[in-house]
Amino acid sequence: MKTNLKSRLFLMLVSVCLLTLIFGTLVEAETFNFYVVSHGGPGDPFWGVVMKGMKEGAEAITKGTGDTINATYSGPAKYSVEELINMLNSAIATKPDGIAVTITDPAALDAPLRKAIAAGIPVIAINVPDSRPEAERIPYLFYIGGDEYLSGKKAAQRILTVRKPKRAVVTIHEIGHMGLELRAKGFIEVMTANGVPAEKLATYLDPTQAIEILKGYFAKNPDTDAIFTLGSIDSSYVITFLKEQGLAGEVVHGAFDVSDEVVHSIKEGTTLFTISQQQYLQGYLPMQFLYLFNKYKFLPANDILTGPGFVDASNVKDVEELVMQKYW
Amino acid sequence: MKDKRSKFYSSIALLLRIHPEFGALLALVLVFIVFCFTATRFLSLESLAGIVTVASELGIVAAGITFLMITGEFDLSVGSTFGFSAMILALTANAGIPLWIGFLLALAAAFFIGLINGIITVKYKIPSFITTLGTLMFWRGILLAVTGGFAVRYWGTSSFLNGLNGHFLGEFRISSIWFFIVIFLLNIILTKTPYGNSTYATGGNKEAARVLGISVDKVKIINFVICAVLAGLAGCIQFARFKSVDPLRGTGMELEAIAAVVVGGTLMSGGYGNLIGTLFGVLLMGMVRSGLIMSGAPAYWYQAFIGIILILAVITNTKLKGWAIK
Amino acid sequence: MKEDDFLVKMVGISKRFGTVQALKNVDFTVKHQEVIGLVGDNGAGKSTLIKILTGVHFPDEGEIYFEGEKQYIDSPKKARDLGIETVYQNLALIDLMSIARNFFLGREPVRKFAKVINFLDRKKIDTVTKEALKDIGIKVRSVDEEVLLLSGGERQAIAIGRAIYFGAKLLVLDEPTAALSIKESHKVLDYVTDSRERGLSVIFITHNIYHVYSVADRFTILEHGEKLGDFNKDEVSAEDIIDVVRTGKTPSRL
Repeated sequence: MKTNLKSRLFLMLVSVCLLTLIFGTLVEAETFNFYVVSHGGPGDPFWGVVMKGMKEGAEAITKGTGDTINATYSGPAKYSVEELINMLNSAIATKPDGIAVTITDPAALDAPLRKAIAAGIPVIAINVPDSRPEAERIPYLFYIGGDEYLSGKKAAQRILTVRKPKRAVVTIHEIGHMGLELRAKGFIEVMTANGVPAEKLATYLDPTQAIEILKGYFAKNPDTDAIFTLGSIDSSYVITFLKEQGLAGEVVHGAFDVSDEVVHSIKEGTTLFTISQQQYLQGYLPMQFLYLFNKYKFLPANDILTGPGFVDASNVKDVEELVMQKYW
Repeated sequence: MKDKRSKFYSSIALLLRIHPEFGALLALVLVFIVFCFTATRFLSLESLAGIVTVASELGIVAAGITFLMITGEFDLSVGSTFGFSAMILALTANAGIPLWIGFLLALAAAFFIGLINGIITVKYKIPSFITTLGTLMFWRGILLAVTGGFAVRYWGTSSFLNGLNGHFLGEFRISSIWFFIVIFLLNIILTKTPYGNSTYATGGNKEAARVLGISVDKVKIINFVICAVLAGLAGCIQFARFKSVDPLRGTGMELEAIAAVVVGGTLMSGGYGNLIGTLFGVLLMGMVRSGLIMSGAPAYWYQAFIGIILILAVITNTKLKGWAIK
Repeated sequence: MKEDDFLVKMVGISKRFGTVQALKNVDFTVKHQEVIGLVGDNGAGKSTLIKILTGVHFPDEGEIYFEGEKQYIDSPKKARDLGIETVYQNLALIDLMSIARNFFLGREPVRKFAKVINFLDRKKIDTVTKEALKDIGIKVRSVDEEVLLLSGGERQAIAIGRAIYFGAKLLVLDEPTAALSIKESHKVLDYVTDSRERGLSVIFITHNIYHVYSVADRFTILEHGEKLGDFNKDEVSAEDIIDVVRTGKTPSRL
């Protein structure tokens, strides 16, 4: 009978310990719901990388701590500020623990975001900041992203270090897209300031038509020897154009955004460089920072610039594998 | 003298009545002449080959739309079918499947898309405008979801793909040959076979055709399939040249194709039209784009110009037809 | 009654659409080489009866005999094959197509290419259409002209001519003179009598009693889905028929 009592006491002790352990973790574990809302989504490989960053940023926290992050990405299939606002409002309505949003149109986003911030929802700006002075701008916590205008300027400067073009052209595949227009603006301003005629050329989405448009442009302006592409889609057909026309090497090509085609082209020498915003970080870091802010009230003192970063012949080999895995 | 002149006019009127595509040809010639003067190097073989190349891919899609429009229906999903088929070819190629099999699979997918379009429209009596608007979004959505937004590139070389859309005669591409074959075959079916007669009848007056014993439902479904398969074919042909497909491929193509068809003289209400007019319509659209750039027109003005030309072309067509009837 | 006395014999036809009884136990006959007027006010059931005869609808009850043999007419094509041709008001011809194409729609003569593909026999289509039209007495500039350009009377004429050419035994005309001028109406009535001369029977549906009275041999009057009666021409006057249709009752003297 003594052994029976002992074993029963032992069993009870073990159970109490286990229960405390289980309950302990349950009581302390928290769940946070974060939203990433942007003006772009599926269909643009650029945002595919952001989504991957968001997913892995959330997973890292969920696996590494006892807490769980539920991360949701909202973005329209095609660039649309109206859609962005609708999706933002839907996200705000769920009363999430944090939102990361692209400030694509500060005037339109001003009211809904101020309301959300006033209601206590932490907001981080990504990819496009509110460029108004700090006193006026939407009071989000801080900004994580690239600087489109600066990127355009640096791209032009980079080309100028290689040679001074007789004429430069910027292809734009989606007119009115805020990010693209800013890149083009920076590029054209620097070129013009250096005495190089530069202009935009609308080439749209269809590659067959784009190549005919480019052929027409080059026929009218045969002295064109520098071309700046603003995204993966136009980089793709411009590279094909240069190869088909035998202009690779004669015409300097600077690109924007990283894709396996552009990486291949840099290795071949057809493309001089491409600019990356390292947009993976624009999905990954917001998850981390929103978590840290919610849990411990930590807040960076300044914006975090993820770009422009240059990929060129000097570092393309390192990046190549990562592009295949969709990190870049 | 007056008698001779009126006889001349009435024979032109008869000609225009029976062959409405002359309106589109007239527009084409006029625009061509204007650009010869305003555009640099417009008359070069290179620029003309370029126009034909652009016209070919759009033209194959437009041919299918013409055939279906004459039947009295619309297919707005052709752009999504274009991209979807191209993506199937790209994905199967990367998976190591022989390209000609991937090509057949891509066409089979298009066949399936067209079949669904037809069955929903006919069996549930939904206007095709609505049905195909829905399938446009559905198939584009599937495409985006499956690819995760990333483009697919095929890095290998292939003689099959070269056969689909390689070079010939210098600047020309085999896509032009495909285009002419499609127009030629479809035109024969439309104008020289009983099935063509049934197609015109179904579009002209569905109930009258039904009462006369034509199986209008079957005709409509078949023509939906033809339209979708041609869109898929065009997508594969484009892939053969670029060897890469992004999930947005083909977006907006449906409206351009419809514009070209309408400019060519086919009526949106059905029962009237032909493929030669569509041929002129797509050539016109290709010519306008190239010509505007080579004339140095400001880049952001193209769409406005193309819009104006479309409206003018349709007004001219309608006026010519009205005059011919008198 | 011997079955083979009649070209068409419909017995006990009933048809209901939802809650509406369109036809109730209607008997209807057409003799050989006879023009019969099928009259009645709106909603009497004339269209429904005809649509059953021509295969557009299928009766709930009743039987149809054509040339003495029992038939199940389940499609318009079946009716056409039997030799029943219908000329509906707006559904006879397709406006945007040419006369020649309309003439042969659904029964195009073909030449086979490589034994598999059917090509329209354009030569035959053109010549036959021209001859058939000449035979009826219609003049057109070209058989490639759109039907759209013809007058109402010319269109009716072509539709009737088509029926005759394809060996119709029974011609069903649904409101053939509605919307026609007086001259054209009479031309159409001439074609009707001409058809009877050629050996056809004609069912003439109309609201215009005077028109049908001038050409018909017999009249069947329907009212609210039931048959009021059959009357030979020598038994009644046009005014009598109008009275019956208007009041819905057969006066005692008939």
